[in-house]
Amino acid sequence: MNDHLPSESSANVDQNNGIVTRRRALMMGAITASAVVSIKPALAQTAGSVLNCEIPVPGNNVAGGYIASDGSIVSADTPGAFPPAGRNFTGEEVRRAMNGRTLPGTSYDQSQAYVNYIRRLQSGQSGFTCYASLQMPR
Amino acid sequence: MTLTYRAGPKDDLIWHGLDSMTLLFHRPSGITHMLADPAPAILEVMEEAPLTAVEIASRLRAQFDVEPGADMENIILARLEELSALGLVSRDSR
Repeated sequence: MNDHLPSESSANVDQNNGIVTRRRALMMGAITASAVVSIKPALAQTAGSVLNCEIPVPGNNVAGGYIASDGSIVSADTPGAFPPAGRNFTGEEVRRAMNGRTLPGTSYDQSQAYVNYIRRLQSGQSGFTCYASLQMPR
Repeated sequence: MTLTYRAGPKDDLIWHGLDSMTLLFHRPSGITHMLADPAPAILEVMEEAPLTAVEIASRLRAQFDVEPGADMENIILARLEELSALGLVSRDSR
């Protein structure tokens, strides 16, 4: 922990008995100057948002694509790939699937492929915010 | 009765240093705090022990080159109140 604190290093060097020590400079600031900005997890303010948000598989940007077992988007003629899910999955359904259940209306392998797709979602893709909400502590 | 402050359990926090700030993720609340000096240093020297502002000032002077002329104890008190409001330290007394 100490490695991170504080950020500024002192240029002062003390030499005692041949041992060189560096002390870090600490800016105290002003009494009225707040030292903390807090970022609240707005993505998951309530359990309700996780229950109700939806994740399309695949997202609109790759609509119609098939899902390989590793979650990647592949063409329809790829052996072993699964067709797009017929409906969006809710955050709660995805949470359960990540805990070992299968997504509604899917086989075990199909569910695994869809969950792998969801795990690979990145910011800006459909369903990412909902998936990110599942990761937030409550 | 003397007012003391105690930092929360170390395991509740994940620290990440940035250039001029420290990011602190507080597991129980799920809130990430961006801390500027001297708040990270205050938490660092507290080490979960109940301490007064005077004792914290003494520990800071022992570990850091503190800018001269600063009203240390009152600044530390203000920061402790700020950290207390965020649930990162708790108030106590002895």
